[in-house]
Amino acid sequence: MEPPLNYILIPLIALYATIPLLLDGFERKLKAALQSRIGPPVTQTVYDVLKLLLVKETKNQPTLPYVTLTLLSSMVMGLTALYYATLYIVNGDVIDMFYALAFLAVFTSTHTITPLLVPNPYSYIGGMREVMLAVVNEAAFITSISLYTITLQRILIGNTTWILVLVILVLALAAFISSYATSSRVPFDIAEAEPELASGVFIEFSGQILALNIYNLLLRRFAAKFLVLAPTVILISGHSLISLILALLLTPIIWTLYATIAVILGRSRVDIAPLTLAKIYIALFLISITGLLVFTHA
Amino acid sequence: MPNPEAVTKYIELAEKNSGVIHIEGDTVHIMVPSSKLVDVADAVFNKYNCSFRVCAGIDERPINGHFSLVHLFTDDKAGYYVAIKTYLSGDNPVAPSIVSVVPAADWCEMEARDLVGIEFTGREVYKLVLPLWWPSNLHPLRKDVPYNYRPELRIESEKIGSSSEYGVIPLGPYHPTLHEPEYFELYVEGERIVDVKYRGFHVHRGIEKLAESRMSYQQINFLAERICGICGFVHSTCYALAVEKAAKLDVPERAQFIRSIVLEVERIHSHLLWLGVAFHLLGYDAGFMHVWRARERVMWLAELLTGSRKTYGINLIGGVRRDINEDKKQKALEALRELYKDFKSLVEVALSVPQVKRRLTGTGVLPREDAIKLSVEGPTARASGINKDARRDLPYAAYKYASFRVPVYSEGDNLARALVRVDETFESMSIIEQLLDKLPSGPVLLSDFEIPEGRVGVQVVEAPRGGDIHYVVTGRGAPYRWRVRAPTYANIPALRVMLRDQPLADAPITIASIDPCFSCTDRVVVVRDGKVEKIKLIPVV
Repeated sequence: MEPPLNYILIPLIALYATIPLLLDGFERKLKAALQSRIGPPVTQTVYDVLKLLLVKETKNQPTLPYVTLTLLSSMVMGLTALYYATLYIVNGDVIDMFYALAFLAVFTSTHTITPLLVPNPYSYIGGMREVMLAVVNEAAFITSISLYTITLQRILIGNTTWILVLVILVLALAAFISSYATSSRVPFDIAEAEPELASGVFIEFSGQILALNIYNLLLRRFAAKFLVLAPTVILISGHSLISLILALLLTPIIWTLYATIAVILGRSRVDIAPLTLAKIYIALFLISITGLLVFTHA
Repeated sequence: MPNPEAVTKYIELAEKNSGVIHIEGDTVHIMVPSSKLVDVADAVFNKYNCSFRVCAGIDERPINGHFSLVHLFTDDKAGYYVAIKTYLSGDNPVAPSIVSVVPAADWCEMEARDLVGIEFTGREVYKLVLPLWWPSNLHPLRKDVPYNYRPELRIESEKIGSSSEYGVIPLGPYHPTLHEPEYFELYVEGERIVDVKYRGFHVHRGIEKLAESRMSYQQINFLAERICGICGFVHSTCYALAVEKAAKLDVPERAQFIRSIVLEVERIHSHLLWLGVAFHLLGYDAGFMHVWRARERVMWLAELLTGSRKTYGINLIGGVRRDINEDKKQKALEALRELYKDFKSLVEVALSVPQVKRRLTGTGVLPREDAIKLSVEGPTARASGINKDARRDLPYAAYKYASFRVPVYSEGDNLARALVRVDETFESMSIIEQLLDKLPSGPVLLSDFEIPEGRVGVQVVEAPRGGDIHYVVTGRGAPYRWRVRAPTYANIPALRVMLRDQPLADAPITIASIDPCFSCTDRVVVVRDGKVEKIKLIPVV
């Protein structure tokens, strides 16, 4: 680890832990503006989570301790993924990036299965919808960012050809689409927001567990964006602290972009969304793999 | 105007079935013996293609010692109301059910059984309106039951159904999708709905009994308006028109214009409200917010014209109690122009959102044949290719002075129902402009009139959700019998057809697509073929 990073690592993790709450507050304000509303203050999500943390559970489900444990461990996984992504940006070791992706995969998976631990039909259906979407999207997320990172390394060592640039662009597109889908925003909020499930995955949660669940969702949104930006900023300013600052500055911009997209779209359906995503990913991966093969044999 | 030639067939029908016919204005009254009731109803519904509207049980024992049952149809092509009446024994009222030939009569027969105590033969019977614990010999709409009589309360919960084959998803009575207490039980196989059970009437308020027992003719206008929070003015207008028809009152034309204008304001408000809710259910909250922003302008318009944003309270028997002056007229026209521009751009954007379009298209389909059999109303009917609209077919108030198009789509899906409402919103704006432009001078309220006893008035008013019907038998100082049927009452049974084999995720928008108003309706039951355990099934179509 580079000496400067030692000094800022703890404040940095604290920043990672806090910033999703503020960005969500900003998203709510932005959405309100786009919908001709005033909206809550930017700090509202912080207040919401703090208030929920002070409220006791209203239901005494026997499985709730497991849910709490799962949510806490997934939160730690999420922050660890961000830690390794930071190391990758500053130090440039590709292994760190793969650690980050592995931790993110575990984070997303544990968070996804949480509703299945609660005996409630809404939770089960909501949870299964999350799983359906995750099966397609998380695989694409990991694959696209892995390929994106590897291809980027080739460019960084000076192998810049138009085919490689095209492949990079296609993989970047796949990575951004999958990071959008993993953030569970419209049109992919098919489990959290579907009214027939009475908010599905959240239905049995209240108080501290609901706070943890909401927090994990926001952390997931932040981590998904940050991990896509990690290789991207290196392309601009190499492995350095400047890249880290750039990633931190670009994350809110991407967050804003995603929030704006979410405002102009409606919700998809569980039988449409995974299928549509699968078609898009297959097309993008076919193009990029073909490009990589052409580049290798050229 | 009614076509006089069309009544010939009803005269022949009455003669053939030992009945008595008399025609009063736009209403054909046919009185038949109960043994001929099914044949006559069959001919009127299936041969003459009349729409079934509702039936009403009446306790006429204090007058003639009998109960009576009236089935109300409308001949929409000829512009006539057709009321088929039969007298039943005062001691043991039993009537043959017409459900076998008119499936849409299912609920109203069971309501007459619950509330008036008329038994029906030739069909399966069940409790519809009253709770399961209600004493079986207590029928609240009988004249010998005091309006304030309360049987001893016994709390009995109805259990959620179970199925070894399918998952059970309860929807309601309190649920984010339902803005009023109703209960749907969805039986699902994976994400697909295979069966639906419906239980309603959680908030039956007994307003008919209250009106007949405790209120005067003019007071009931205000009670009628409180039947519904969205289309209350429809109810008060419908009631006032029915009484005015029964009493043969010549209401000032200016009042009729104002009624039509306010009815259309209410329609625009209701359709905008629905569109907002529909977008919200489809996850398109930007559409929801912007449509409701536009709706705010309509509420401002309502306040300008009536003094109230909602529940206007301007209807009286004999006219209205609030006039529209030149200043209000100009302001209203200006507001309409702004609304038109705003709504047009909003709808164009909202209906082109891919997810909105995709999820509305081809979902919740109600085929035309089923729509006819169930006699569904309003946009639900017009989206399934049924070209009926009481404003044009059975003109009332001042609609005969306005030119408007009745939008009809043949697809029968959720998109068709949405498009009918969008088109109607534009038509309503045009109707208001036309009527404001032609607003005649003169008084707005009859000053002196009498309402004789024993007269009958029946009126359909085209509410935003479809035909609302009020049936009035006049009494002394108050209606002897007042029967109200809101359009949702006719549309809910169609949900079982619309929800079959649909994705679970589309259940909320499909339920919402009939724009249900449960408080207006409040009533009843079940759905479809076999397999589900512990569910009473009623074959309907």
